[in-house]
Amino acid sequence: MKATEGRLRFLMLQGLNGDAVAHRQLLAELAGHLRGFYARRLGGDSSDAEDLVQETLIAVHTRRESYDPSKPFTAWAFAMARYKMIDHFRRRRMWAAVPIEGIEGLFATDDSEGVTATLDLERLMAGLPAKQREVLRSVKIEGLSVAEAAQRSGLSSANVKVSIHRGIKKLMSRVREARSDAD
Amino acid sequence: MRTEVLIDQLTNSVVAIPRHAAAKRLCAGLGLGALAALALLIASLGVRPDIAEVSGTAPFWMKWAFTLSLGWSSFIIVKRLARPGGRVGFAWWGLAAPIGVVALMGFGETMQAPAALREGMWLGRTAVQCPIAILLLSVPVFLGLVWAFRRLAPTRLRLGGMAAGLLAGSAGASIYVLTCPEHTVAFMATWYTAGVLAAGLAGALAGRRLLRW
Repeated sequence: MKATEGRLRFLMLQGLNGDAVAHRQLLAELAGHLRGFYARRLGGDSSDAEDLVQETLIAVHTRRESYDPSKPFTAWAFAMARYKMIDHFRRRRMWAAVPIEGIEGLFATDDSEGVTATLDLERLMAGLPAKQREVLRSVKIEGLSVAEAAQRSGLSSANVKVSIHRGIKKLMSRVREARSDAD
Repeated sequence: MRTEVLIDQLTNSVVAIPRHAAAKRLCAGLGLGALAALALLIASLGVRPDIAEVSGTAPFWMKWAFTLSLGWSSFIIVKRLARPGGRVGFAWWGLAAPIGVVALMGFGETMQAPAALREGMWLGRTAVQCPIAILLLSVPVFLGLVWAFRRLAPTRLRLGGMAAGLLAGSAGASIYVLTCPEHTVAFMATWYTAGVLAAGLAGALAGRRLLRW
């Protein structure tokens, strides 16, 4: 890790000085790291992962002014990669939400379980306080670790755990309420 | 496209990045936006005609001290949030402190005045115009900052947008000083702050869309 930091940072600084060979080498090595990073998180969906690798490389290249040479390079690159991943999930969810709502409007009597489950979950989640909803979504739906969710939301790990616990408890009680209403 | 090909294309021509490139780019966006806002002010409300006389008085400089200190603090916050994973930390106090100080000063000033004059001191003649004008003057500055962000990498878009909005609002308020006919601290503490905060709110709302990359 320390060796990687030293090496990549050196290449980055050379690249910032206008050294095209070093910059090329940096992007090539970074591509390897990013491939592993996204593959682990997206679970082998390789075309999405490769798209994200390329998007992140473009961002690293076009936005390299945002790197502060006095700070670690790996932290900067990681923050970029993570942002691209979160953006990817956000985009996919929005993309998925549009046709689902359309289908619901069109086939109101259709009892497609997957669709209603998604809608039910969204509706249940909508009643939670924003903080609990956010961390539940990060950890239980997107599959981030507690530490990552904490970093994203700016909360402490303990706070994230408590919010997940409370959020799930609240969801359960809502489901029970809904059931007893239905009975 | 294969990733190797993409890397080749990206590194076809690699230009050197000067030191403090991020701060310089933000300054460029801020400066150009502020010039546009100044032109907007001159074309609409105009600079107050007695500017030469009032520019030697305390209320005039007090207003600039307030708006420029807000601008300086929000610039520091914007600079931090322009980097991926940037944290603001204690820098928020740089905004809260001047607002707190002028609020206290304005309150003290109002309480010392005869009760019959208080409402007039607080509302002045331009209480409605002031925040709206500041918000409108902040628009070109905000767009200048959005342009600067195109080469930077904010990862907290709403917060980054809010900080950019506060900076744009502070710049707009600094320019509005040139036309503002009011002279009480209570007026400034309320209506200038309202204008700057409104710009921050608008920036937070616009940030998610405009700053995305």
